[in-house]
Amino acid sequence: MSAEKKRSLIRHPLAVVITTTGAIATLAAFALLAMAIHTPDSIGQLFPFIVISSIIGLTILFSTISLSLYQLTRKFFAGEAGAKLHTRFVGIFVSLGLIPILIISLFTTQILKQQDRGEEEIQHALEGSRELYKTALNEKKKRIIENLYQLGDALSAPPRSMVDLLLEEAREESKAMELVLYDISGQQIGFSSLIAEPELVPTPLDPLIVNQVNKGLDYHKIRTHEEQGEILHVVIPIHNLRSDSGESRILSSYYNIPKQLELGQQKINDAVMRNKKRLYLDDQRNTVHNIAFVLLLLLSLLSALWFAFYSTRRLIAPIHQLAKGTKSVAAGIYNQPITNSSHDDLGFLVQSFNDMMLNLDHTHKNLKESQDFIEHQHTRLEGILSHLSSGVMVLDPQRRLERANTMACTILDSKITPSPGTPIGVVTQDHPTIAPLTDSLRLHIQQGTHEWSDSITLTTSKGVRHLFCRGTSLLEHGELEGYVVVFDDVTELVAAQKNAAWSEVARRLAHEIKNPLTPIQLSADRLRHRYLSKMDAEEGKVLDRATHTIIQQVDTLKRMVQAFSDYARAPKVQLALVNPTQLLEEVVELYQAQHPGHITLNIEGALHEIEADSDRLRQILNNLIKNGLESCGEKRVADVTLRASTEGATLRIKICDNGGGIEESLRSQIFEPYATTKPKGTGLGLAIVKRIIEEHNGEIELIDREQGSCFLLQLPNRHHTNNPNQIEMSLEEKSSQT
Amino acid sequence: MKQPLLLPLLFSALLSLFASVSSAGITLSEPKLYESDSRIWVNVEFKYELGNEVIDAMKNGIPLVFHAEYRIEEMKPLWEENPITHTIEHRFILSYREFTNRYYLISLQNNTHGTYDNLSDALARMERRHTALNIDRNTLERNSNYQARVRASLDGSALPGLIRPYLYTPYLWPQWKLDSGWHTLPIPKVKTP
Repeated sequence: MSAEKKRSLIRHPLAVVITTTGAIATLAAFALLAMAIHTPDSIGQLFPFIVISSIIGLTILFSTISLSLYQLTRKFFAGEAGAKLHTRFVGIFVSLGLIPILIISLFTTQILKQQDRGEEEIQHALEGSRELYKTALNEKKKRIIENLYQLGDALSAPPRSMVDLLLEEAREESKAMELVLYDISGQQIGFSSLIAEPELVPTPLDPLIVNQVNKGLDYHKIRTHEEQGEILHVVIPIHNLRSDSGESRILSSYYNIPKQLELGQQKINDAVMRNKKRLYLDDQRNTVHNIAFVLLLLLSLLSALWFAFYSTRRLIAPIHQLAKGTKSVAAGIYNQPITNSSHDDLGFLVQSFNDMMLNLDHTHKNLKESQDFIEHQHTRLEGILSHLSSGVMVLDPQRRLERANTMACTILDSKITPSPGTPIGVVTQDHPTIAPLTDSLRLHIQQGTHEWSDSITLTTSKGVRHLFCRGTSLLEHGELEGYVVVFDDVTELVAAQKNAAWSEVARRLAHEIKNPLTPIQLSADRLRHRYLSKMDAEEGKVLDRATHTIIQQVDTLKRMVQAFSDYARAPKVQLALVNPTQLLEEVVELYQAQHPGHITLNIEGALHEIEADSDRLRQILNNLIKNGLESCGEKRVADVTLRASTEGATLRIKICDNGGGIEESLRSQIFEPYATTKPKGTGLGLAIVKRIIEEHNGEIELIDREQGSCFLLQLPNRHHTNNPNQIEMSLEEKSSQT
Repeated sequence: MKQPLLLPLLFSALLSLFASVSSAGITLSEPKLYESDSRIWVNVEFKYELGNEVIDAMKNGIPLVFHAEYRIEEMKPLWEENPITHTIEHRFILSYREFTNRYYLISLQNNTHGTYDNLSDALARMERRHTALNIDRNTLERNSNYQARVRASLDGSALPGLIRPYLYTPYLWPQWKLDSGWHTLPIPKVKTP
């Protein structure tokens, strides 16, 4: 399993879990927010769940969107197929989702703000009412204080024993709840109260109040009584103005706040507090609503964004798949159909694409099979052509060379590389040696011959080659498709034919001439012995010269006949293991004795024994060394160098001289009978040499050299057949075929 | 030059934030368990510190109900719930009167009330040390283990629904974290004669 597949196996369930969690959390947050808004009292219990579910939902939504955005950006900048369209779609979807949400949120915020302003105005009105109440209460305080001052006048002069009685009367008259008279230091003088019992040890007045009153200031404050509720405590100074002996006193009084005022105060207080509470709760509601609104907004926004990414991805997926499929098709991959999960128009498009891909795959496979078949046929044809012993050239109807096999190049000794559109004429310009062949081809094409054959002679670096050509026009449904030329190198066959012919001539010459030569020679000798002594000197001299000439010419004829005989009836090779080093040294020693300093032998390394006829090999070496020594003519003896080595399974002997060399015109025919450079040579020496070499399955060739001539002999260490007769047989077969 | 100052500033800001957060709340100090031959009583002192947001709510007509809870529990293994043998609750209602600009405190246990010129006086009244739990030792099983638990908190159920979010999400609104948490005092076991 590939790493990518493993990763996908982990990633897919993880994505499903995260998406499901996010969806559940978001839906839960929406539901809880809806419940909280509908029943505000439940918001307290719901709020923690709202916060938690919102945080989970928002986190997952934000992470998913961030990841999607990152992936989209990466694809966009990587130029992936479908990325631009994806981006565009996301932009459109996001705009469609966000714009209404933002508009609604702006309007909602404005409405909430306007509601706030209305509530504040009510609060201001209530504050005004409270101020009004305070004013009324102050008026009441003022009247009480004025009344107290009037009472104070009556209470300033009487002695202390009368104070309690007067206070009782004054309290009843003034409707006070308590009246207490203190001296200037705050010590109690008299006491009359409805709300408290007199104490055994009276409590002095609060020094702070005493201090304030002594400064001539009134003191008044609303106090809370456990039973009476809120009561008004008023303290005033009393100055005795009637007599100098009188003392200044302090009158402390408690009054019930009038029920109307108290109720009013209570009502106003309650109303104010209730209103403040309502405003405060409204603020809190707004805060909660704002939080809920922000959460809703964020959840909606992110949900819209997520949905935009998700739906766009779903929408784009087939297009993306199509783009990928198109790329695959462009890359030559036809066997990867696109997964189709939708049944809409895009699904139909994907299905059509898959069908098209299947058709393409089928066609491609057929094409591939055909191509493979053609390739196979081509390779096979190439193989056949390359293994053919004949050269083959194929031309198109415009005579442009389409194909030439290896053997064609070998036979023509030219590296012809067919290149499309190259006319055969251009090929001929590059390889002038093949001109006779192309001329013949052109001639036959011009003549309109459909099938033709011809013998052509080329001069290549290997010498003059004889070719036998057969040409034909390639016709298909009557249309000319090209030309095929097949040619064989028949040089060897021609040579063998010539050899066979010369052998026959030689054999017949030997047979017809050799027999009468001995009687002629004997007759001439007898004539000479019988009549020479009987003739006078002058006639005898003529006879002597005539018989001598006859005998001499007969000898010459005999040698010539013997040579012909040797050539025509070469003795069968007697194969045995021969030490080439020893053989070479023996032959060379013989000549070194005759021509010291003119013959050199170089043996490179140890020469392997070869399977050969030692007498025939000796004959070859003698022939070639003698030819070499005589290559300078009669004036001087040439230098001959022999170099022998073993290369693989072949014995190589190179025999070179520094003589006059072989003329260029003669080089290609040097191994044919009667090809000689010597005035008195029979021209059979090299022909015999070549024949013996061929009998040993070897090769001989004339190597180019600046001065003199050089022959390279190559003899195999072992014969391929143990039957030496087979060599002769093969030669005879060659001749008969020719 | 700015960077060396940045860290101390940040640190001091965090400290001040922590201080402001930690200044509000209900703390419990010196919880003590007293026992005699026949009785057991718990003495504890609470300290109430209200944050601005809470005071603001109170000044806007939201009465705050505080309750101090005292329990005697019989200790059971972990997988069982401890049964409550004795429980007592002190409830205080603290409110504000805009008209008189005074704070009004009602103690539901004694059914007493009082008005205070400033908040600290009202809170001081609430904080006053008192022996809340006083039980007869004989009501406890001799062979069982018991513990006393004490806690003071703001009663969320008495708050308007719109205020409760603050109380239920104290990690978002630290000033509303008005709960001392449970404090446990083990009750020494009386040996079987």
